[in-house]
Amino acid sequence: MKNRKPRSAFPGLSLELSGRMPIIEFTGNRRVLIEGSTGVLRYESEVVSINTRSMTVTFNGRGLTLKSISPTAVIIDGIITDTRFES
Amino acid sequence: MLLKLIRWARGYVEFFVSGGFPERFINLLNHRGIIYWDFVPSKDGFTGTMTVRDYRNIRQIARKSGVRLRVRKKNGLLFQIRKYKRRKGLLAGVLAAITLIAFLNQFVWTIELNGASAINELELRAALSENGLDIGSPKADLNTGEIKRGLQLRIPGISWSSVNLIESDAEVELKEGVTVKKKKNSDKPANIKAACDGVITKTNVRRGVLSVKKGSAVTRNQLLVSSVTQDSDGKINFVRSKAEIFADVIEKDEINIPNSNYNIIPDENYYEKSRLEFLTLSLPLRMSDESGEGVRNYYTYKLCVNSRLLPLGESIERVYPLKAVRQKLNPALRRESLKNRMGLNECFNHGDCKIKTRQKAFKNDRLEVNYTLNKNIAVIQPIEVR
Repeated sequence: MKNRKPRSAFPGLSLELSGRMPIIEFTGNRRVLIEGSTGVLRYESEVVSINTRSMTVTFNGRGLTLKSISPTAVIIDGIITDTRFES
Repeated sequence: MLLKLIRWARGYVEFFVSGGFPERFINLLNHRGIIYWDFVPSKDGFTGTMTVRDYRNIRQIARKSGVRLRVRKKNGLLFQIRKYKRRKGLLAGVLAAITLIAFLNQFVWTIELNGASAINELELRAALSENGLDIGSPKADLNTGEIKRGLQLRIPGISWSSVNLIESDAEVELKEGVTVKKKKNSDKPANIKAACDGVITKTNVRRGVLSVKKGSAVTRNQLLVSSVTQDSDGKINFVRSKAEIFADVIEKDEINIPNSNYNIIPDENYYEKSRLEFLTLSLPLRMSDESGEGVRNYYTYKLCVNSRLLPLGESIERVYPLKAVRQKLNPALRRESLKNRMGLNECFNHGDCKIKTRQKAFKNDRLEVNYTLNKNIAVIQPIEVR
């Protein structure tokens, strides 16, 4: 058998980088799914900050709620007005 | 919906989180794999929901994250039971209902017959009842194999049957067989003789040798068609004769009606008896002191739910007592009655004949009618050939 080299799921990004990056999926500005979260840093109805392995993602908006939380993923519902990435 | 039901069955609490570090509280809950939902920020803190069992185990997490927990609302089966704990009648009712359902589930409530078209349903039900399958029969005592065999033995027209017990319903599937009629022994040689005296008007011989001619007079038991035939080689054969021999026959009928008679007719004033029917039980509901002979009509009303008859209902026996009414006949009415009786007589006794002439004579109480009938007088009479 050939010893195949593992490939990154995202073309153009190295495996090391793509493995550490969170995957963020928006549904309009009403819902966001963050895969690769490591914890909640701040939770208020106007601000939600989610920690990931490479950065902190902060969502500003109105009526923000944590719809679903698991150890590696978070779903935030509400009206998202602003997103900020801090590393 | 299912998730809500499971949560309700397990019991859940709505709690309020205040002070300390709620974010840390969330992270610790996630880390421990504790499931919670509806965790939303409110004025002074957060509100969330989790199962009772998990809520009992989060004290340490709350202490670690410095938050204060307070129960806002308790929901679920556990709390509902606790709420109605003092109302023992309710509990007794629920238990009684469960016991009753479990008890009634042990009996056959309905019998459904499928595939019977030529066989009478009442006969089938009677046969099933004889073999132990009836409404109200305990399911544990039923042996479907035996019922099946018994049914096929009792009613020969069934070629295949199957009895399925589904909950409290018994489904009987049937297939009717085709009955082959036994052929009559038509090979036995037979002559045709005259049934009565008469004058031959028409002959139609299909087998045998005609012994009389059209217009000839015949007497009772006279040979009309012979079974002895001879072929071209001179060999004698015996055949079973087949023929229709029509003859004019004279017959006399006497019809008599008495001057007065008693007619027994049902009275309009009826009385009723009714019974409550439940499975095999039959309890009297309404009784009557009256008894005696009468015309009885039976009605059964059964409870119907979802177009399915349940074994609960009322059976009513309505009795019309009989009364004797004397009727005296005047001459005109008597004549009319005699004529009617004559018509009935002709219909039933001479239905297969053609009435050529009819001579009526009224004598005192009776009517004499002389008929000239044209009818088939051929009668088959087998012969022994050795």
